[in-house]
Amino acid sequence: MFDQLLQGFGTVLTPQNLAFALLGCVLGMLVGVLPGFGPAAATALLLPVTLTLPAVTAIIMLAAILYGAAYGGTITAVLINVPGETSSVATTLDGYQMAKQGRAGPALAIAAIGSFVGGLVGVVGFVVAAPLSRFALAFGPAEFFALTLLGLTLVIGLAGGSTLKALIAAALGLMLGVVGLDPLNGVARFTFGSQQVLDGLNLVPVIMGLFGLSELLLSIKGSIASAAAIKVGKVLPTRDDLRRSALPIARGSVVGFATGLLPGSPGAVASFGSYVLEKRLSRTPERFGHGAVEGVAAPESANNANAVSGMIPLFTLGIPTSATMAIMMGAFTINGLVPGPLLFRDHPDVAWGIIASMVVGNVILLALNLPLVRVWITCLRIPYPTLYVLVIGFMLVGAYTLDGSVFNVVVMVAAGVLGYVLRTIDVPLAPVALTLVLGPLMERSLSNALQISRGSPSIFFDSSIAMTLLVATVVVLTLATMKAPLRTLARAVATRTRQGSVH
Amino acid sequence: MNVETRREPDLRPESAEPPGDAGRAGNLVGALVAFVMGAYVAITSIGYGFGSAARPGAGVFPFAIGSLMAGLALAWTVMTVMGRTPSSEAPSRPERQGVFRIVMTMVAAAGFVTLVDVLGYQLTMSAVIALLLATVARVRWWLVVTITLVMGIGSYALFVNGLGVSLPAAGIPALRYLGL
Repeated sequence: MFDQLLQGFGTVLTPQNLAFALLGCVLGMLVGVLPGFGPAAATALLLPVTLTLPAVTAIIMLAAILYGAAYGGTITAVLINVPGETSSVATTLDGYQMAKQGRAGPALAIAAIGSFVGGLVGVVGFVVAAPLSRFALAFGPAEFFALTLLGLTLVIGLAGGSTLKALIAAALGLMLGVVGLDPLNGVARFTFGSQQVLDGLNLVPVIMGLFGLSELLLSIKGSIASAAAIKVGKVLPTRDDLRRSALPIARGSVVGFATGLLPGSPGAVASFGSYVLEKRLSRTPERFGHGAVEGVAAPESANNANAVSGMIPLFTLGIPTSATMAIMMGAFTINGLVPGPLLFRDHPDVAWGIIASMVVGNVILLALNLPLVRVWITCLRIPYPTLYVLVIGFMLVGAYTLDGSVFNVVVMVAAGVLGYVLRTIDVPLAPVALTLVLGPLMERSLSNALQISRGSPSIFFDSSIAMTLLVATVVVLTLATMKAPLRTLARAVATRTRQGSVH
Repeated sequence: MNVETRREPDLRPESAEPPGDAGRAGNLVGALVAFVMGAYVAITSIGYGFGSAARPGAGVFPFAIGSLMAGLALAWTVMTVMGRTPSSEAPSRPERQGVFRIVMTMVAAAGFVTLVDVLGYQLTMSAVIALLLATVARVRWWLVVTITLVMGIGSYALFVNGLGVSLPAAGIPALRYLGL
């Protein structure tokens, strides 16, 4: 296993791959520092840049873009209190306070160290979990259908907010996923005579629009406010900072790794979970929220470990667990690779090369972080509307270059408007992206399973794996549906108890 | 080092699931659109055929999804009417200026789609950037010119020469003769 990892390092450590990993980190950070631009949107935006590269180099660069964008979100979280994604929200609590106290430099440095350690823990877990892919090779269509169903249900159950709206979002993604040729009979469905959608909607412009363009449209719908002064101060953390951060980084990495394995579990669960844990364990919890370095170290390690372990289901089972992983899956497909157990069997050099690139990417990020802090600050000084125009320009050309036609630009703009509307009525976007990817897989495995069993649904109940997965699906769905009534009941009980104690 | 940074109050912290105005009207319209879409998909998929249990037809999966969507939309409508749809804490209707910016972005995108194969990439991208800089960013004229040139010609050079991606030349011979 570790031999294969070493071979993976051999794949990555070529001048070309290293150069593109470096470029990916820088570009990812550059886009990630755009306020509100999360890794999903950043990865989708930069995906066209990788189209002309060899497959392995392209995926290595994309993985680097992903880490870079995630770290870019941390920079804005610390410097201007605007996180790039929900998983960085916990970092704002103490990171921004540190920045206000003139300690933005140490906050960013600790965040980088925490991210590095979290990433490494994630990679070690990844290496250990990789043999699971052999287990997944035994999956037939029935097991795979049950697995996709469970993955989808977990995404809905853990989406937060209204379960009904998450279901609506999932159904919308499934509907978009049926556009194109039917996998079993080759019948064109909902193509309206267009040849360009026979293979289905291209995932990339849809994601670019849903996550990127809609975010940009939201960002300019209101007024633009005044500036605040930030003092970066000394960049290096003190010995006391390092001492205080050591254990939170270790604990945060474990929490992040564990939560990343759950499909649909948002990064915020990891970062807030580790933040709350540190606050509970601290002898001076009152420091939290007022610039405690532990409040930066723990969530940052957790969210990076979470990001890496989130790739395990994609690599071992071929199931994306988040919108970002759905984009990565799209990138694999564009490059002629199929993520999942077959990747380890048929292209071990690619699979292990990408795992090794995670270590390399994290080292690059750590090395780039401190020297480039002032560069990112300069970027943040560019007036936002000007940045907005430049990003829109790059999105248009990026969508165009996907297949050299304006069709994908139209798809991106339409998806952007759809994403904007969905956000304004609180419909979550992540289930749309995930079901768009999972839908065709689910339909194919369902049809194949029924063909094998000659139409008998018993195929799903005869297999103990499929049965277990289906039971888990029912449990998750029931819990998700009961979420709101249980909350109402708990509130009523609490109110009654309070009233009882008053009387 | 002291730096000036802007705060963008309307920038959402989360790209995946941000809050928004879940006003009643918005929810009802959303539910109606979802119902129409679901019903359309379900009805259209009947025409694709259901096949048999042993060999499901092309219409089975979309029919199931369309029906599911229509059912969920009905539940959404009922919950909204009963006032049980979760609402966000702050209304998020765009300001008048915000609407203008969004409309200009759509106009620019439509212009790109319509013109890129006629005028070529460089001219079209320059026009799009100039339009957005003048109307959305409202920067000074010399900045409009500078950024437009850098973006229009620079991005062409980056994609074509740096990344080996082909971008369209102008469809009009005279413009193509000028290298556009």
